[in-house]
Amino acid sequence: MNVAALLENRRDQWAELELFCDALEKRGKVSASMAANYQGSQGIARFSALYRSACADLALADAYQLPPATVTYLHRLIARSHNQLYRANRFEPARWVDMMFYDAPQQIFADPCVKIASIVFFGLFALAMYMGRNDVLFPGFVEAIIGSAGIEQMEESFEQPLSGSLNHYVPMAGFYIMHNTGIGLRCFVFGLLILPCLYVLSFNAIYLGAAFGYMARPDAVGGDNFFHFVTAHGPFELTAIALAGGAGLRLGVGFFRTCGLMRMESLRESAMRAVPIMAASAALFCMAAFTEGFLSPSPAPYIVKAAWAVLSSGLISFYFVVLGFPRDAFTRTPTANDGQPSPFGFEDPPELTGSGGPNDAA
Amino acid sequence: MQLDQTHVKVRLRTMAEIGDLALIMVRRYPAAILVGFATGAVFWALLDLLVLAWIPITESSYGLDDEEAVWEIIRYLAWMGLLVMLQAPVAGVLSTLYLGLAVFEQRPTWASVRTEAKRGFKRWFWKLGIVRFALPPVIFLACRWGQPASGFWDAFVPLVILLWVSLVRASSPFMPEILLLEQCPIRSKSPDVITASRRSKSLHGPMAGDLSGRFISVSCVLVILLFSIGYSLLWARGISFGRWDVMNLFVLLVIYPFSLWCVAGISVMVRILNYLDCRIRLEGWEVELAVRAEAMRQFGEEPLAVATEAAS
Amino acid sequence: MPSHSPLDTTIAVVTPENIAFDYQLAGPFRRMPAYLIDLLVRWAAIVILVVLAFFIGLLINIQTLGPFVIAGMFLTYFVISWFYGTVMETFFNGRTIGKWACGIRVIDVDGRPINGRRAFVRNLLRIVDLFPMAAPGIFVDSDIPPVFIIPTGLVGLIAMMSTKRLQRLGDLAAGTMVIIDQRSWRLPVAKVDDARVPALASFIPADYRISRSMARTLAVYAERRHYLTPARRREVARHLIIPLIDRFEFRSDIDPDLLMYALYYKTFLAESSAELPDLGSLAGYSPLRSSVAEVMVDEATDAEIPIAGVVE
Repeated sequence: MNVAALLENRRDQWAELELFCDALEKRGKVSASMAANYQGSQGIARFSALYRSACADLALADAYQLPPATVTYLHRLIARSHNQLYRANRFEPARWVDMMFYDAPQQIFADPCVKIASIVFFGLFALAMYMGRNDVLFPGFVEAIIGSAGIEQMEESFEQPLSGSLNHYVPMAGFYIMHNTGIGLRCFVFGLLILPCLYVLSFNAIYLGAAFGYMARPDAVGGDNFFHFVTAHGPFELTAIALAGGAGLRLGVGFFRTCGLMRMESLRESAMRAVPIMAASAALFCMAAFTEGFLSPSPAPYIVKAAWAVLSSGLISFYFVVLGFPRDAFTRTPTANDGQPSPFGFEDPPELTGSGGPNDAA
Repeated sequence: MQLDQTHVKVRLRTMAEIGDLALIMVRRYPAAILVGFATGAVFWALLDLLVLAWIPITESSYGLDDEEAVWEIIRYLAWMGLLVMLQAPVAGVLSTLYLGLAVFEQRPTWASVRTEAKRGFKRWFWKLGIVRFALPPVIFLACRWGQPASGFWDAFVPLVILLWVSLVRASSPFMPEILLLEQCPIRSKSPDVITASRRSKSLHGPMAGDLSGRFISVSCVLVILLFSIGYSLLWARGISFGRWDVMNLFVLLVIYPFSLWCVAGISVMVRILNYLDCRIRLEGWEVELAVRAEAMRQFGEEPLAVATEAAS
Repeated sequence: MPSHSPLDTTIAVVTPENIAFDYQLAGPFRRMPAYLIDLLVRWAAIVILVVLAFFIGLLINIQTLGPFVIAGMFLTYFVISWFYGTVMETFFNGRTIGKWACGIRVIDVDGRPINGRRAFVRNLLRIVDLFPMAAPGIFVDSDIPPVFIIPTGLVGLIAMMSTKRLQRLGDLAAGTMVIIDQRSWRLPVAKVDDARVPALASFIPADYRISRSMARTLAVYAERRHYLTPARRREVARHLIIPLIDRFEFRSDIDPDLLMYALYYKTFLAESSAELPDLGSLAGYSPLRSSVAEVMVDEATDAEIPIAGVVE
């Protein structure tokens, strides 16, 4: 059989496949005007059959001695139908719930990067708070960190006792979500380069710590109002920043600590692992923003705010520790047989790292 | 040499694809840029600094902030930019030759590139260095060493040169490739010999409009790239040394020319790929390579070349 | 990548059907316009929503709804500026509005479609790829602290340059790549409309076997010959045809282009069992070099010896 006849035979099917692609690309589904056997499950079956036969044509192109332009055409046709056959999954809310309440706490509990970020953040925070509080031992520390203009502004804004109305709360909640979550996301993103992430994390820790320390001084103006303001949303917000830093570090560390994977493979792996942590962090940021918008500036008594702070800390601990405790820690108890190969067993084949040959190792 | 087994896939490309392919070539042949272009560029960069560096150095001794210094600095920046633009093709001779060989050979040797460059030295130096105005402005600036800025000599003259060179380059951009890779002689007594100007006419003539359009778009992208590289260098300096001031001898004498030359290197890369594309579009170069390779496969040594040699 | 595969902007993908096909990669020069369009769309969306919200607030009751409108604006800004790309790419199968306009698409490195998590990572990490941010303020006044607002994108550019799939850092972390989305592309089939071609093809000796590489060369030639001038076609075809004319013992004044085309016809289009095509007015002509002499000999022998059949 010569090529012309072969092409003539196959052309109809290719044209049909193109028709499918056109319809799918424009509307995402086959339009109602097309023939009945293109609709519904019949249509899907037809589309995949056409796709598979085009794939077969491409596989045999060399044997048929197809002209190069036809081969190019086939490459493009198959690429095009491939993109339509294997489509992106839409967002699935069920998966999100799973990610938030199963993946994220497990990941946070097990991840050393989160621990490092928390230690760095809370350690520096506590240290800066102590140094800011103690004016005798560390004179000028707060001024160096915040600047005298910053201190004045801070004192001014907390001079008056807290009061506000809904008109004030709602926009502020929106603003806090935008601003603080933005900082968290930025911190996560900079984690890819590690150092900027650590910088953002430590800067925030020291700045906030110094402000807390300064306000905790007995002679500070508006100190009471300040703590009145920050108590309620503190636990959420501080944890969220630490988590964002942890997620960022996970991303960057994956590039250097490969655990036997290829470097790019490892980076990809750790990026995927960092996403649940970041999602948890963003959720915490949002909750902090609502608290900060509604509860914190309200003239509610301090006891309510403190109770909310205790409650939120409890929730966070529950989330991290109870949901996050490794699930298989109880189910699998080591037995005496572990580690001793059974005489009737077989050896595991050595695991291959990466997908390729010796080139990949280089 | 297997003519159809080229190391750069020969096919029709769009402008964006040519840019992307240029980046891939930078990765595959870093030597062409790092060694080849740097060797050519260092000579010209030093020459430029020799005739121009006195401007910022004298001004910095008075302080770079006053009104008059600003004009002198602008004069320096303008001349430096113009000189690099003028000298980019002649500085890129070695990398052009290297890349031309790289299309057919996996790893061209620098020795062969050097001999090629030496063989055609008179030809390319005359056409690219003198006629295309790489050297004359340097001599001109050397004559004006130490003189204050003047409206005519430092604004009008460079502008005219810029316009003229842009026109010439936009209408016949592939002169370096014609001289270096096709090795056309500049002049010949016989009317049958394809001289550089005849070849240029036949190559550029049918695509004149297309080529000018490409020249403009490539120039725009290169200018953006220049800013991008310059900014990044300033940023790196600012981050590592905490110095953000721009009016500074280091910036003027090192960072500015360096980013100019980086962009010039990329321009050489893009030009040679554009040249290949132009030949494919106009002359079906990939067909010719395939046909010649097939002839060699069937009949041994290239039969036509043998036949013509025997006839002459 | 094996070092001998020719440089090109394509990447092979193996599908679940175990078929390898090529995707064309989109590099920075194709992706930048898409990004700029997206940026424009993003800001337009924000501005339109804000104006709309403002008018709605004005219409209903600024007193009670005003704060909600302001909060809504903050949230809109936040969501659009951070999650525009993520949502678009997940819902529209790897495309945003800018990508759709430029005909590109994001997919997994294995050729599978992108999912929400990957889209999230690659769109967030764009910030790093646009690094370092430039501060235009430093050119005006070196005293004010730098405000970094203009992205230079050099980090992403270098990342794309150094990966074989032209991935920026966000792509690397998410395991995605950007490909050129194939729109409809007509199947090129070279049709033969010249009656001389089948006639000439019938004279090609049956013992001449066309090799695989020869078939490919012929196909390349036939597909591209429409774009070339007749003179150029002859020039290209001569390389192969002149020795072939010798081999087939054809007359030397045969058009090389025509013979090339006839070979193509014989390889790809003619039925092997088909009868001789209707030659029409061409009947009686023969391209064979010896045919002229033979006819004369035939006539002479006819006259003398009556058994012409023996001669044949």
